Amino acid sequence: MNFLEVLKKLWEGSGFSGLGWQSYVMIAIACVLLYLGIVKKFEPLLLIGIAFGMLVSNLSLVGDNALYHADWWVGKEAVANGINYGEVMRHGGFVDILYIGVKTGIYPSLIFMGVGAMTDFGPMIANAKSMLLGAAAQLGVYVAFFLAILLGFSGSEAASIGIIGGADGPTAIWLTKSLAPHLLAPIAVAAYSYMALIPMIQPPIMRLFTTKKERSVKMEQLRTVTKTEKIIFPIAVTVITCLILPSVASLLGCLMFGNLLRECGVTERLSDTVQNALMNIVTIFLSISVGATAVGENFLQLQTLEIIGLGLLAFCFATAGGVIFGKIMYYATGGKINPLIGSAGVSAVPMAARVSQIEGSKANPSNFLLMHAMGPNVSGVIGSAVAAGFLMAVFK
Amino acid sequence: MPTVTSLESQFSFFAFGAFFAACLFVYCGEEIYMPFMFLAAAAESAESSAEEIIRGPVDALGYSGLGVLIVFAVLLVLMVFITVMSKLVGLGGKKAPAAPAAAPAKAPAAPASPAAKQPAEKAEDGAMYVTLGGKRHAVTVEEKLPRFSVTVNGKTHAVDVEECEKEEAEQ
Repeated sequence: MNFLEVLKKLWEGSGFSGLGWQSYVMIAIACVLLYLGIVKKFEPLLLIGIAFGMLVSNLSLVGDNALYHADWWVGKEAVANGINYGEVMRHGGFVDILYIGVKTGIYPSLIFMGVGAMTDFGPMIANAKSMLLGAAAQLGVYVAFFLAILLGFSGSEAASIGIIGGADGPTAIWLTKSLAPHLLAPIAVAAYSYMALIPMIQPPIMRLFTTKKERSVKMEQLRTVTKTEKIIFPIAVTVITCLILPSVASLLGCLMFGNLLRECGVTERLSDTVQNALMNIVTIFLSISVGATAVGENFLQLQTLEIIGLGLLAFCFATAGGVIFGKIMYYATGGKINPLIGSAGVSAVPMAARVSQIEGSKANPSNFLLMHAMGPNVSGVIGSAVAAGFLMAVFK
Repeated sequence: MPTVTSLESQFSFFAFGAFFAACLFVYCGEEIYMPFMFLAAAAESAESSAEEIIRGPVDALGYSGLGVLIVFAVLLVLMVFITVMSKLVGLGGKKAPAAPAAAPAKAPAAPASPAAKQPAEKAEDGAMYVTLGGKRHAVTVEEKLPRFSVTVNGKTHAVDVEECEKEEAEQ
């Protein structure tokens, strides 16, 4: 072997030889996402992990150095014969191993456990009617689903795209990994990006569908919710929802388990671990593995743009659905409910509730809607999980 | 305008749910009963692909409608459960305890500055008081960080902690 051959071998083994134009574009996109996460603080806890996963996986695509093998997960052989987990464990890259948690649905469920442990369902229990707003805001899911079918996506793909309208990242990942794993990267990126953009997307729609008089409505202070109610709630919700929609048991079961740890008062240590350590660890694993699936060849396609467009429409219709139903409740209750809390029915907790608060206080500076909006907001989490469970039951 | 009571408003929503259920029933009884047929087909033929289930925009519309109805139905059931649970536990509909109407007679001397804000202090009876412009008022504080509400003499005021912290930092 002469000197030139050694140099040639080194070049062929380097990352440069395997990089195509798509890889460079993906690296640029990853850098933009890193900028948005770090400088603009758009969902930084997730977006930075997703962007870095995207960056790393597009730098080392060749041979044994590949961190992620898309063919093993969404290739024709995997679709026809199932995933060869033995091969993944023996020869898989770092992200391949982490991706098992996404593929099996463990990460979204564990994230839901953390969300449950961090969420106070008190405002929703105090004002049970607000649950209907959480249901109305799921309109965006089904509008986007319908539009995706019109654009030529298959039923499973349309269902996965529609769930972006639920404004719930883990739910979107949970559904997509089963129904349309090849679309996981664009759907996850769209879902988390739009969640971060909620303060920009929602206000114009909220103002479009409401009058200043409606936005100025001051709502009565919520009643106190007892500890007994808070303990019974997660147990009962688990029983009821799992009986009606067993497909959603892993998501809602974990959400309610986390909430029970928080409310029962005898498991502070576990609740603390779920809220902090476990949640952080799973967030790191989930974000890196989802970001790493955004390999240029799969991501840079026309359908990615279609998904991003449909995702935006889904968010808009979800907001409109919640606000319009809020108006119905405004009239039904004789003006006691501020329609702005309807927009919080999309489940981006607590961002959407904060937007309701901000818009309400703009219309009436003494208005205080945050806790009233938290009711629809947390019921939106349940609503989007139910919507996902329905789509899973139909299309899997 | 007549006042709508809590019970009436709850009844109106139950009626709304019943109306939904009735619509669903009529919907299924008419010629357009496709959504349930789709579901049955999906359950029976697990091996059939999802693409075969959706055969066009009409199917998609049917599924979308059914999906919305199911989400509403599940959350309606939960809403009814929560309402019943609250009644059974015996606290449903009760508002948060209001602030005591009057300040106690033996209030301490007021500070000199008229608009001086004093931190809330705890009295012997456990109630919270704040001295504003020399007058002592009973308050209830509900924490909803980063914002919380303070009820002074029955009037609720929103307090933004982040804003207060900014003001303090500026000072």
